[in-house]
Amino acid sequence: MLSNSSVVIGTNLAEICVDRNLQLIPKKLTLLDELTAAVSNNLFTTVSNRELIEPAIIAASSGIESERKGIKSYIQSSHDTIMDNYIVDLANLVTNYISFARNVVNKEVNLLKESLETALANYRYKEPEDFFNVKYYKLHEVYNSYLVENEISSYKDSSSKYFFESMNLNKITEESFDLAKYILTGDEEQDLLIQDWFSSIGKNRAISFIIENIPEYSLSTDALLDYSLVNYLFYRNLVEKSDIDLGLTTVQLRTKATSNRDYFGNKLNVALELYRKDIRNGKILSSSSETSFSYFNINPLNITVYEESFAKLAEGGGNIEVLFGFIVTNNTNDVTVDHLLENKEDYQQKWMNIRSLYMIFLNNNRLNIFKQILREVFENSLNKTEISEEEQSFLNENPGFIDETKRLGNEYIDQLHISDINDLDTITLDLVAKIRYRFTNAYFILKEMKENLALSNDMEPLEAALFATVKYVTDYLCEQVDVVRL
Amino acid sequence: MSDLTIEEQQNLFKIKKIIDNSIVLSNILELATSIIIRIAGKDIADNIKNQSLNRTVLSNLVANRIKEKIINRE
Repeated sequence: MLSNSSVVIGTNLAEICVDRNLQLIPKKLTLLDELTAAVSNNLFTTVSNRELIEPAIIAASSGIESERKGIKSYIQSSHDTIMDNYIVDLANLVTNYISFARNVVNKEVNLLKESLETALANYRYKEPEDFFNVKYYKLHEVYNSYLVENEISSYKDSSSKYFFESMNLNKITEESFDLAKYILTGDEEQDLLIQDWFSSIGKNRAISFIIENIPEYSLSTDALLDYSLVNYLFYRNLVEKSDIDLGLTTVQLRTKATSNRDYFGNKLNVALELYRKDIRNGKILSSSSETSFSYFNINPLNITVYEESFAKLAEGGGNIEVLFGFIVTNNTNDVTVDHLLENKEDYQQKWMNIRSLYMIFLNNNRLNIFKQILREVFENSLNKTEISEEEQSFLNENPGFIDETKRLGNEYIDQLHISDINDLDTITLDLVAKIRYRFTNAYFILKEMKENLALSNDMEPLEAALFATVKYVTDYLCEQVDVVRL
Repeated sequence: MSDLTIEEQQNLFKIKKIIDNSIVLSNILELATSIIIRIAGKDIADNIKNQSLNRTVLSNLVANRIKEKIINRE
């Protein structure tokens, strides 16, 4: 039996349809066809005015009520019988759809999103500024200390020739040898500076400067300073203490250590002169700075900027982008502050141009990388996921399903644009619900739920599921109707 | 020969068309609403059922969807 509210609302809608010249015809052999026939075939009276439509339809759908000896009974109409049979089955079916969508498919959507977020977080996109690994070099205070000023300056203008004496110093690599302590002078103020400087270069680098055969010509000025100072301090104390057993007599040890102390003292003096000359000339990059710029560089260019020179550049209105502009234009580290300031607008503009071009390249690359990561994560999810018995039996009956899913997934991923890649919710919903579970109704239900939840912050997922169900069930029945325009 | 005027005949014809359409739409409304009420009691949530989600409210939700899918689509 049709309820009063259904018939009243249905008749109002029917009037609108008639006003628009629409005729609704149930498709043959559908459930709606069966139900409609059950009412139409029972409609015996001729209805002559609008007010009688609803009562006539309700009566045609109703069974027969009777009363005998005070006992009321109701004989079901054929409409009642059909309705009763289908409501239970359809409700169970839709309940299963919703349950599957929420408990199986939605779980997979969330898992895929988590995996994708993790994979993306582990990958870092290169920004234009990442082309340069900038280190600012400032001469450490130790180079202006009493020891350097007094002892090292004695090598200035010296006409002596200094030679390096080779010594096997593997002993200082032993765990028990404390180089940081060994090179101290005993003067508290001086030693504080040495300790601070030593920690800035690190123990391993300091040891390698002493024991390795380093081609000095390959060292930049800043590296030559550290290299010379650590060796000077080491041999200075070795001369004094003669306390490391290197298989030499004390005299031999002192002679060699003295020679090396002076060698490195002189070297340090030269390095200091070179540094001061660089600063005087306004040189801004150390000679070790890498300047071979290319979009396709995998590793960043390590550049060392003299802080003192950079301060002058900043005072003149220049900035690091001016320097970047120079490097990408000239591919050399031979540049002065004056040159940069004279051409600062040009170099700034050049960097901006390069940057813009790179951003285009980066965005294309970024999309490709995103697609590659998404493809891997999606395919892994297809291979790894634990699947239910129902799914397994479906897969057994459809052996090409996974391959087809991969193909459809790749097709979907291929058509993504750069503007899509921040919406991971939509992408994962599409891949899982629309493509992977395309044999279910999950996509419709989850998409509707998502849209409902987006409409209100107060809405609970269960409420969103209800509204999705209203649409799903109504659509299912509406599809059983042919709409004819008269 | 009918004793009815043309206007009366047109009115009857219109009523017949409304009835035909109404039977289809009333069945969609009745079935959809009944299914949803049954589901709401099982899977969706008891708390929703306790709210003002009665048959009339649900019927109106279904009616709005019918408008989108059938009437406004044309």
